[in-house]
Amino acid sequence: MTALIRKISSIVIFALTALEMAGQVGDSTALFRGSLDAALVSAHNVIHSNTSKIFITPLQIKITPSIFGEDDPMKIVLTMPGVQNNGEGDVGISIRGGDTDQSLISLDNVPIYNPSHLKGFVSSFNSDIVSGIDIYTGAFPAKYGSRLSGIVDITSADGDMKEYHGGITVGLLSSKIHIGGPIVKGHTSFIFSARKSYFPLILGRIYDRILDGGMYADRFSEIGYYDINAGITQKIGDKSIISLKFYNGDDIINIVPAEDKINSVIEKDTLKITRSGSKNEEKWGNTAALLRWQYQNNNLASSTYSYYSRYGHHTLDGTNTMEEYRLAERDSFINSFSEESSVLRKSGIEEYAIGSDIILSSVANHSITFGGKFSYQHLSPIISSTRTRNFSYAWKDDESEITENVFGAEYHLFTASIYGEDDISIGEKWNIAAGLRLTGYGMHNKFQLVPEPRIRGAFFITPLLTAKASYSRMSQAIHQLSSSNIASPSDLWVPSTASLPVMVSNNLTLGLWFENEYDKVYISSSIEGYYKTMKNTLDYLDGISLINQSNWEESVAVGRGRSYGIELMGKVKYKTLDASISYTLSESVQQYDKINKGEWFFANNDCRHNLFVGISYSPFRNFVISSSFYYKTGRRITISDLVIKTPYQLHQEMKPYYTSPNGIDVIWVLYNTYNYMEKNGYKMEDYHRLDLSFDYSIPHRKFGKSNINLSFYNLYNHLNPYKITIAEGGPNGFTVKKLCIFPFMPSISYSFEF
Amino acid sequence: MKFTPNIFILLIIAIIFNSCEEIMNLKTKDIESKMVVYSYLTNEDSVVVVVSPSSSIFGNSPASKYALDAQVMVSVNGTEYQKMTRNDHHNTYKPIDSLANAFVYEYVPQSGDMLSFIVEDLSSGTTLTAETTIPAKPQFEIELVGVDTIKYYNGLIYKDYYQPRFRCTIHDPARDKNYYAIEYINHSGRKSINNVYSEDPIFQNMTEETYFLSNAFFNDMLFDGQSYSFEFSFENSENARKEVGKDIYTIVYGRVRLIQLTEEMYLYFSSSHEALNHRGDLFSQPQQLYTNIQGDGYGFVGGAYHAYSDTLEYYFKCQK
Repeated sequence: MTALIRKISSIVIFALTALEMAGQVGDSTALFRGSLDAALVSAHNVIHSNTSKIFITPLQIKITPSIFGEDDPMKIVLTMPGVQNNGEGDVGISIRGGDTDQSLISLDNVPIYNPSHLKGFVSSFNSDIVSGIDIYTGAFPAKYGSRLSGIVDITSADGDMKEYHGGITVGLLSSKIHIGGPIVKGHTSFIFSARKSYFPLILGRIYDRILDGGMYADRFSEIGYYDINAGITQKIGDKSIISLKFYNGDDIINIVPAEDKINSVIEKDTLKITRSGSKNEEKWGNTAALLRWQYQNNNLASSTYSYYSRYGHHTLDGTNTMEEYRLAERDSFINSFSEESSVLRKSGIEEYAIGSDIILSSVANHSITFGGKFSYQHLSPIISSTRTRNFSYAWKDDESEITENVFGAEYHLFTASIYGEDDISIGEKWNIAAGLRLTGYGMHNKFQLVPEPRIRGAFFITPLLTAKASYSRMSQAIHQLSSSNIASPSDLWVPSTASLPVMVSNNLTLGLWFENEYDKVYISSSIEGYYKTMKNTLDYLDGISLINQSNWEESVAVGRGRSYGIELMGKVKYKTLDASISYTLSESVQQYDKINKGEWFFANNDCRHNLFVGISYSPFRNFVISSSFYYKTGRRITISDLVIKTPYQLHQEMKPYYTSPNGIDVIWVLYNTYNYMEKNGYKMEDYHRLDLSFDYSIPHRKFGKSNINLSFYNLYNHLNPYKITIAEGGPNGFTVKKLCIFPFMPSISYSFEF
Repeated sequence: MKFTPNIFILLIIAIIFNSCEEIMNLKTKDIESKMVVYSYLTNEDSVVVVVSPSSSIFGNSPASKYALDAQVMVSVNGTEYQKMTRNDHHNTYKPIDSLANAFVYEYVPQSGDMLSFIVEDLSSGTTLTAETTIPAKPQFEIELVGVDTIKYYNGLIYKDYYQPRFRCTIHDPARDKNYYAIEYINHSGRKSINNVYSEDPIFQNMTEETYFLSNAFFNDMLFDGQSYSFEFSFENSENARKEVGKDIYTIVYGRVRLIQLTEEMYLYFSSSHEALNHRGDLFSQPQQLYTNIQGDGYGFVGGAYHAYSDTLEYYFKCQK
């Protein structure tokens, strides 16, 4: 029995690794599928030979209850043990206590630097094109690098080589369309999907009422997003596939000013009319493109690729003033002058990369993986430009003058890495994978080489029970500076520099896996513990406002962190009933010499308990009921709980009753200002909710099928705090209020697929 | 029954329109009271240091006698430390707070002076230290541009507000980082400081919410070593309006004060500004107020040079 498992394992490990490298090729490229399907059915325990690895299927995404009718792949990722964010509205993903910038979110292995739309409402990934998600929370294979804490790689589907498939979905938040099929049957295929939101139309008005401030529907003249995915796949013979993939997604928030100013004054015989207005705009978006060549024969599988990825964010604050002069009596035009001025703040990151990954399985009991990658990153954390345009018009004589100033620094980061790893089966019970990744970082006048050893092992205690352990070292040379305790599109990507060293983490995991199938009941469970240390992490200094700093390097502190925890996961499957549970007990702390007086404090993403329970059941054909329950400890927050009395001269809000610039009768009126005693010293109320979803498919006799999804988000309407406010008053002298942005939300969506 | 999407949307909206805000319980912490030292030193006033105790926003700090038991020493340009006088009786320099005390040293600092302080709490033995310098005098000119009429809807009717607009030209010294703040001192009636606002890019730290704050501070990042002009205005007070027959006049009678700040003062203002921006928004990363106090306490000691324009006196006839 054990020998059989080993034999199957060697096939599956090779096939799975090849599949990873190939990027989960779709139906059209069934290159690797022949030996794979059968092995997957009979060797459940072998699938988990990698510790801390999770794979999510498109079906899981589809049956999990959605919000606003949007099947969101990243929301499913958040149900996995060790993976979390800081609640609703957070665009980032934290893995095992790491900061959000320490998780690599990628589409077909191409980094997507901001993986969300609408500031965290929905992710950047259209579920229509997702064919699978790989998550690594520890025990990283040598192939992976550039991030400290985890990898979330979303694999996009390829077009079908034989038939056309497509669909259209209409939801409350957005509508989307996808289509794919052969260009040349059996040789070339394409896939295309597009999504466009219409937030202000329905949800904006709802949120306008919820937030009670006219913030969305009334004031935002434009708020929304779109994204498109496209790909072409070409088979060359039986052994090669070339793929070209493209992704682009943009968001915009355009604020209409509450009022414009109009001024008309008569000076002598001239009527002077002055009009002024303003504009505030925020835009951000990702672009990614990938060209990949995959090759496989009996003993070798390779993937050679080149990609481009870009993330950009900008805010534009503009004003315009027009002065028009007319003869007061006859109201006839004399001349006009206009001035437009704007401040544009841009930040962004671009990455160009080329690399190759190769697997050799020609040596018995060995699966050797090796490869390399070279990337160039261009970072522009803060580029501010001011532009002033003066325009005068007097009948036919007009003049125009433009003044521009640009300031800010740009950075260039070169990264070269090579790696090798051997996955060895030793005897009947041991499987060990040992490897090394060498990464060199070239920054301004500095080169840093970081060796990253990786080792992981599995011991088959019984055919059903496996013990696993791993150690991996990771490094990262880019950081995301966040001005709030959740990730935001405006966060700045900055590089390591000569004075800010590369981040390094050490990850240790230990766990037990059990799987069995008895009388058509499939059961799997695992327990895994981890301990991680991080050094050279970055955070803003206390009391520093980045917007006022010409040099961000002077605004940050270098520190360290550690996190540890235990993760439990269980799954049961019986006929059409699927149930899963995951629970994480963890702690994450950080220390910076120049923050919080040098004392250790809880990290933003510290979360003591995190529980997910999911059930899906199909009582009859084409109908699925699914339900999910989420619970996690409240988010860490910093409250300015310290009251300091400040004289008005140093207080920015209050004005003195009176003063004399000549030093007479100066009374030092004192006002309260507020500081915090301990960073992240408080926590919000615990978060929990129950979601319910009904999914009904209606096959049409002639063509395609319709699908109606009815979802109830936060079924028992628990008001999970999005933010809290503290006000004076109440029985204790103060009152704490919480605001929830996702109360009970029913939603419906309709889709048609063929 | 015919089911239409509109009915469903109405149903959704009806269900959602329940309150999304409610009172929550928060586990508070006891906060130890510590000594707070503040001083704002300029070229036109004696040296004053205010000492007070800190407290908790939740009102659970034990009472403190820091203000009563404190002793403050000052040294000017490295000379021997002098004991400052606690001002117990006279209104001048008297903080309007029962738990605070002002300490006075009768010396008006000049540009370039370095002042060092030692603050001791005699009962607890706590010692705090701080130092600052008085910056150089800023060079600038002011000229009038005009008066803007702002139509503002106060909820009932549209009202006109008159905002005199000036142009300030600063001559920034080369090879130095310089920091400034600008204010308008209104001399009509009781002297008061009018809030200044500007849309010039140098005020990039200003936001809509903080437009009308005092201490419109800025740095020379955009005009280092050059002469730079920017326009600013301020909301003129009601008593600066005068009706003469059928005409209304708005009066400008005051001086513009340009303040040269130390870098530390600028950092303090920046952090205070951010703290103010984020107040009530605990979703944001809070700002710790910048401090240059050494020891187990809080506060800030900063230096500034006040320079004034000539008195500006204008009458503008406005539309009624």
